[in-house]
Amino acid sequence: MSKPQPIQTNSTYSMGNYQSLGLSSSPKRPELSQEFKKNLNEKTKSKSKAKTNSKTKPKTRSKKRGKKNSQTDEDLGPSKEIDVENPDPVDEMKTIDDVLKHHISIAYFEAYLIQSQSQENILFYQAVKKFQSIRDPEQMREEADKIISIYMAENGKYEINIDSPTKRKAINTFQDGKVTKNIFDESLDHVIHLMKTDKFISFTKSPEYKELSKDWYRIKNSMMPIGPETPRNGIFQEFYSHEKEYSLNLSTFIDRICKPLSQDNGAIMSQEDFKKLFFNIQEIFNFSIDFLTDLDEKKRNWNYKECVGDLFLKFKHNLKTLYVPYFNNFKIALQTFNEKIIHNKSALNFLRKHITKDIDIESMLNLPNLQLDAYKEFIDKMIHASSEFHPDIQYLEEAKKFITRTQSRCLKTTSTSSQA
Amino acid sequence: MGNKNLKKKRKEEIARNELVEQELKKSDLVQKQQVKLLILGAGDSGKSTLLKQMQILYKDGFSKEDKQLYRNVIRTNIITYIKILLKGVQMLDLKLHKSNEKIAEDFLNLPDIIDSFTPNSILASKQLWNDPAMKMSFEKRAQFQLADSAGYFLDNIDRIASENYKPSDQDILNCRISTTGVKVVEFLVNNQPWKVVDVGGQRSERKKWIHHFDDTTLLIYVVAVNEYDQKLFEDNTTNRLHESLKLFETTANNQFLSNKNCVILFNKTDLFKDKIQKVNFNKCFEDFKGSNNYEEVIKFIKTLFVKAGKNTKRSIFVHYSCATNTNEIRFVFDAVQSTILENILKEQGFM
Repeated sequence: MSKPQPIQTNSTYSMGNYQSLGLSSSPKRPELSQEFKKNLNEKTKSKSKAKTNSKTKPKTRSKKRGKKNSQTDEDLGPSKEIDVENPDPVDEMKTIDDVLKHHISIAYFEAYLIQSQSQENILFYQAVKKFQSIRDPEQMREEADKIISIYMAENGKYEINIDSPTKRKAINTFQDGKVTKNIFDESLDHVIHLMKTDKFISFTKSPEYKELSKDWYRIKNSMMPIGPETPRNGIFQEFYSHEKEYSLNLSTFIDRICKPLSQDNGAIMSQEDFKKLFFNIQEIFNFSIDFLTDLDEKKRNWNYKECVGDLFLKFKHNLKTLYVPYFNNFKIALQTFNEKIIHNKSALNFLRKHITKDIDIESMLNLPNLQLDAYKEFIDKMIHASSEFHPDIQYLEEAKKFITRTQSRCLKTTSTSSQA
Repeated sequence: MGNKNLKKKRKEEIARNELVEQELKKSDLVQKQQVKLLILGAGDSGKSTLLKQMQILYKDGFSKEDKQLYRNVIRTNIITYIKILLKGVQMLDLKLHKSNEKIAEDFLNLPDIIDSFTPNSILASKQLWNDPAMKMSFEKRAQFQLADSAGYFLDNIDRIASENYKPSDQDILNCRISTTGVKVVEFLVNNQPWKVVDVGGQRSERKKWIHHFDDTTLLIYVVAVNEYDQKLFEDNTTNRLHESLKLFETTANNQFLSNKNCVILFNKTDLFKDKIQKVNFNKCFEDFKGSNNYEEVIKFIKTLFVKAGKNTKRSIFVHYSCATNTNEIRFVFDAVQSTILENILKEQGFM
């Protein structure tokens, strides 16, 4: 879908001493609006492509062997010894390497790590795996740059906890322009080791792991999509970032354009024109925050079973009564824009005086028109990524029908309509 | 007469009842009040060890799975230590016994992160550790990064290498696993629910701390005093004790914590005692003008920290410990308990 240019917002907040010591200066759990700012410039979520057969770790074997049958490697993690006494339904799901083989099991593990605030580890794992699958050198460089700024740079959003020589080595190699496929291998080994020794064992005792055990046979029997397809989680995260950006853009637009224009008692434009131009954008913005709040809730509780289709059904009424009229008014809005702003010196001057950065008002006005398409695209992707057994499927199907119906209510005549 | 006696008796009874009731109310209060302990400190200071001690003191110790995990971690760590010491041997230009040279080569070829092992490699570790050159390398360990607990485990290598090795509580307490993220564990300490928050200590982990500052009852800040000559894991240039002090200053004075009582736990005093005889404290803290002995240096460090966290709204309690020593930590937590109790009762107007 075509996106208007996001408005630049300061993406970090910092405060003297805190920064050098690695403390964040935000006093509380970041509120929604802060989260916006933090994440605005990031497409953090990479589509995880855990390859089914990739061995993530080189097995360490001492070269000398000589004893009878006792040479099998002992792996970290819960051992088979215990299973004899307490048979486990997921016998083969024992090591972190197993979990890292499937995007579904990764999603469960990720859900657990989010709760214990250590998701940067698994996100880094997924980002590196994605990086390793890239062939094009230019794209590789770009992706490596992203990985370094998000996961390795001091105060990066998801800075990983590894020792400085390893970190420096990767960064220096990158800065020397020697981006190779294995530039992050050593760091990844450290991160996997960290997850393995600290968090994996407690994961195996968590409710998420229990859920995963139940699903494991289905995963194994390929009743669910396994392989390079984008998992639901990745699609959801992407959608979430999109929605966040959308709300933030709206909020900036309203604060910096709409509100100033409505001031001065209609000196710049009459109330009538104002209404023609911006229509119900304020209500749309309010709704987008409600919607995002619910999404945020889902994001925090995300696990494999989480549904999202229900959200669209819950907000059916808002979607219909806000977006359709806005869309249908758009032609008038553009006319008003041309007459009252573009060809109106005082309005233009006013805008120039009050708005420091250039904002493309036309494309900002068009933002809400792109939403229905974005929803449809998201729902389609989710349907594609979900197995027919997933509880979300029925919601998604119904939501898809609803969105299609709603779109058909939009007048075909409006020209600047969106394209998916 | 009889009537008077009766009245007196009645009065006493009422007074006694009131007393009992008040006691009940107190204990009820104590039980209802959720206590939240926040354990903070720089990386590798011993925060998670405290949590393990609480597991021993207030829960039923370590589960079979835990033990299995630690067994594997301890054994892989041994191999890692041997490899680091072998690198030390090379660096210091020491000579291994001829019969060990081949094995040493195998070890040096291992990847940096070792996460599995064979029984044979454990036996080989044992053999190498007995080489005088390795002991020499160990003596000079300050010149390269070797975990604090390496000495403990290498001293116990015979037991750890034995086929039926099961880690003791002491082994588990000594076993270092780097923490990432946040761990919240609930304990029942003398019928009082405690929520204990343990965190990772490296810089990248600290941005997660702030989410847990609310509703803190007591802050426990752990300082590894033996670190005065070591550099940070995460930047290799900053002195660890300097960092710990600076971190304490910013954390303890954070608006959410500045009025909370605080325990500073000076940890790893055993290792500190050894080190102070070898490494001059003055080399790392130039302001220190006293003589280089345990008491004076500890006093100096204490003054620095207490000064950094002092304000009128809180009390600071100082303890010294070796966090792997269960008795010492029991003593610390007994003290913590009475502080908390006092706190609650004061808040409710009983004192």
